[in-house]
Amino acid sequence: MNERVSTVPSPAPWSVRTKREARQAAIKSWLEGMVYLCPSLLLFGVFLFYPLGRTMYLSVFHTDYQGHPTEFVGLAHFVALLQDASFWHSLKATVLFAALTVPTTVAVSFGLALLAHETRKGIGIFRTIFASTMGMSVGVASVIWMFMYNPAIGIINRLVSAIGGTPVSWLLDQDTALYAVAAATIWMNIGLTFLLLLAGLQNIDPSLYESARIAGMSYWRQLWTVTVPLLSPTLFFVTTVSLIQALQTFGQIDFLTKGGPVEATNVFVYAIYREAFVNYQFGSASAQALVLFLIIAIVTFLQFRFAERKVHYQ
Amino acid sequence: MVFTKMDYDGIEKEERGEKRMAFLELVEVTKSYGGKKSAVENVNVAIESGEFFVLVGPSGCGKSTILRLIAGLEPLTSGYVLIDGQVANDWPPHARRLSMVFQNYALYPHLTVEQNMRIVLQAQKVPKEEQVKRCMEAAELLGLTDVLHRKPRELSGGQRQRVALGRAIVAQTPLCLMDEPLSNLDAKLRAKMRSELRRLQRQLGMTVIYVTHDQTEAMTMADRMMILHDGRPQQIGSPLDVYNSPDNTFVASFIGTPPMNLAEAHVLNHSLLLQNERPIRLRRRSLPKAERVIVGLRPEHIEPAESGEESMAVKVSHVEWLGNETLVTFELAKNLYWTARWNGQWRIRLGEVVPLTFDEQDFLFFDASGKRIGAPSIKREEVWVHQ
Repeated sequence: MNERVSTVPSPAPWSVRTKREARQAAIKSWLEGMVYLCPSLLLFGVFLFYPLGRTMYLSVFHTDYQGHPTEFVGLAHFVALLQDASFWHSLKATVLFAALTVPTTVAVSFGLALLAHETRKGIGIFRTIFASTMGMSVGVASVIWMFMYNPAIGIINRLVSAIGGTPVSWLLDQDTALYAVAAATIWMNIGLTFLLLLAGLQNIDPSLYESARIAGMSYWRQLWTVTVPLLSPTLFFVTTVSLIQALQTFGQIDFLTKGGPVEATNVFVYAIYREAFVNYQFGSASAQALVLFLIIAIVTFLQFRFAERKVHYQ
Repeated sequence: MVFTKMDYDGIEKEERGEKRMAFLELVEVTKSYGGKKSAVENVNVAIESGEFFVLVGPSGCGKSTILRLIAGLEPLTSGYVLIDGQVANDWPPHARRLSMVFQNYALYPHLTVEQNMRIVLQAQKVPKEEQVKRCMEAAELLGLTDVLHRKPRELSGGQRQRVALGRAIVAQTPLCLMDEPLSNLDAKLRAKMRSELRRLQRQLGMTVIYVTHDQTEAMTMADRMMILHDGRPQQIGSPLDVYNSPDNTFVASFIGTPPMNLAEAHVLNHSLLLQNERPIRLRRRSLPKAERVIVGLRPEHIEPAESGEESMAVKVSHVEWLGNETLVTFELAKNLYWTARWNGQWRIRLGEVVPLTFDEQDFLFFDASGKRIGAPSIKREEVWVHQ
């Protein structure tokens, strides 16, 4: 037996996979995919899907002070909400708040981004200043604005006095409180919105502007025919995110007004917080949270459905 | 085989006694960005109406900067840009009545082909019917009629390039600037577009200033060209003038593939000593006065010697067969490799020793700094082309 045997395998005959083998392969591939998905599914499950499911569950129960369900009430919480004047009031406040903050934030940030996009000496300093509010927590920003709004020592009232006006209790007057909080919010949100828009502007090919200059387009015409269409994906993104953020506002309300005076700034999320953790009505709060979830889902859907048509992705 | 005198447009006009008008002039144009060296220095050139003028040089030589200075996209540091005889230094880009084709085409991605072409006219407040008319004509000319309503991302590279060209055509400006317009195309399409572009330019009578780093493009397309190196103009002339009679070693090695063979040489009584090693006897030609020179010889001027002819034996180190011709690289002296270009297919083995010969009239001499010694001697009338 000293003859060497070739170890090269003879070519395998062309085989047809049976149905069973095909199914087994599909299952194996599915399982493999699930293994890769596992970490994110786990995280989403713990921090997103479970709380969402729990909220849905609680929304159809009365609860005790610890949040344990006591009595099944069906859709009673939802029915009560729709009949509750304070619910409609907080909805109105939220919509007004969003209407005040979102367009202004985007418009001001866009203007600043256009200024900061120019190449001038020392422009870097301005870019840093314009983006700086991004690095500030809601708490810190709120404290700053609280001092500025202070009726006695705040700089705003001092300026008002200086030009001969009567001082206003900005955060304590129910006619001005929501506007005051909105102004502070715009200031807080400008940093990130500005930075995103600036990055979007810097992504636009400079030769498009050079071509426009050679064709003789004025600055405003360039803005309208080049900048806005090419920036539209970013504009759409910041508008959508700002709107969702506005509908979920909580921090600055808690710091500045606690929903007052006379519920003037009792926006949706703050109302939910009060219902759950001040009034201990976890069931009703859960129902409200679901209503908010639904509103945000609908608004975002509508945005994608209608506004996105005007967006030019490259 | 028929040889005819080259149909050289410029010569004909001069012969007919017509004087060409300088359409665009650059006078001592200099641009610096605050650094020690200027990006462009002391450029002087007059470009005639209807001319296809090429700025060519390696990347970073300042050729695109010159184009941007002409367009008015950047201000000059010193010097003058004259358009139609008027100083245009402070004119904004659109007042200079020119169009520009960018390397990346600069098409608006959100607009259709038609809108991309018409946007130029809208800015100039051209009436709408006129806009449509010009647009249709340009589309017809460029074969874009079927894609007028598509957006740039739905087009092929060649189509995009033609839209960029179309935009320059509809503007109907007398001057068109082109910044490496073909460099994003694949080799085959590029070769095709070279002749297409030239045909269009002649047909429309446009004056074109064309920037490229590709010497083949410059050679094949230019009426005249300017070779640039480090922001300084090296030579201005027609492609064949530049090829036959380069002003310095940079131009000699930049224009032509494979480049001109160069070697340092000592000038002896009746011969040259290349690289201290290889003597070459010259008979008829009077040698330059300098002691050390750089000699140059085009690859096509080195020929295989026939038996009995005075020859030089060299060892072949590399051979490239291109089908119609053979490039033979050999070691002339230690670490000095020259290339010869022979017509046809030659069966040569590496390491083989072959006898070579050349006509001493074909030698060009440069001084130690690379400047050409002796006035360019070739006259245009002596240039013959193969038809």
